[in-house]
Amino acid sequence: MCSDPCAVQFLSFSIDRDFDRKELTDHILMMKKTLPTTRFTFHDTSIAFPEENRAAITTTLRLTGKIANDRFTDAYEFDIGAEKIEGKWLFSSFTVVEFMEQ
Amino acid sequence: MKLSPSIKNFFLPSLNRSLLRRILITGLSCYLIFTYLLIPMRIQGRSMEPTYKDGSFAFCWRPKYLYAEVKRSDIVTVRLSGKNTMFLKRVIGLSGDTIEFKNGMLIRNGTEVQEPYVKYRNPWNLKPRTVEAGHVYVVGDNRGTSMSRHRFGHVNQNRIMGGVIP
Repeated sequence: MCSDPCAVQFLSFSIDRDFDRKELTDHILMMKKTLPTTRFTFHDTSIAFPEENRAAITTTLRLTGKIANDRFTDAYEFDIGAEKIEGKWLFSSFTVVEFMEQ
Repeated sequence: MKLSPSIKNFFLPSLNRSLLRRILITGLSCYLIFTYLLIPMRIQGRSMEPTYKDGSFAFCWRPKYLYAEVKRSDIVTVRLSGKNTMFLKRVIGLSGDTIEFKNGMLIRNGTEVQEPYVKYRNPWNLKPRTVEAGHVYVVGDNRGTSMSRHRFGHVNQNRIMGGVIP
């Protein structure tokens, strides 16, 4: 689903670099294992095509789950880039929009 | 017991063109009001406790800031990428204000602010920062969590969707 490499920017967690496909898959699997009861849902998604074979997606990721019997909920806005490479649409970048800064 | 025709007609109206028109107008009005003006919200999370409890309901009143300015202590809804997920926060600073937290107490423009709505407080410490033009500073009422786990801060005013009822 993702291009190789894929850019990830999540500044409040000091992440701003390219990830190769294996590294990204490992991180997703590790997150799934750490947070097995967490539900991930996407809301308010819009897609724009700024140029041919490129798409810009804006969406909100909502997380709900439990950590040590304590219910938690959180939401993040994402700007996702997608590119059509060899006839396939692949995600090329994920940016967490930091609209609220301490 | 026999119902009078007017009562019977009120509860069991005959299906005619006038009734269908009334149903359509009512349905359309409800759709427009509850989609664009008074958006129902289910509160998830504890960041605004005790003012708004996890699982409670409220409405986002969108026209609130059409002709009025955001004021300090207002509770506002802050949008993410749309209106289906919003943060509920309290405005503690307007543009030009300097905001600081010292041992959990809010210091605005160098003066300690009494916040009767805050019941849970951790000793937050945050260096002073001045709110930029066109921005406001928002925070939840529940300061009982660690500062790193609480989503708050400086936000562009165009992210504010409206006020909250009740």
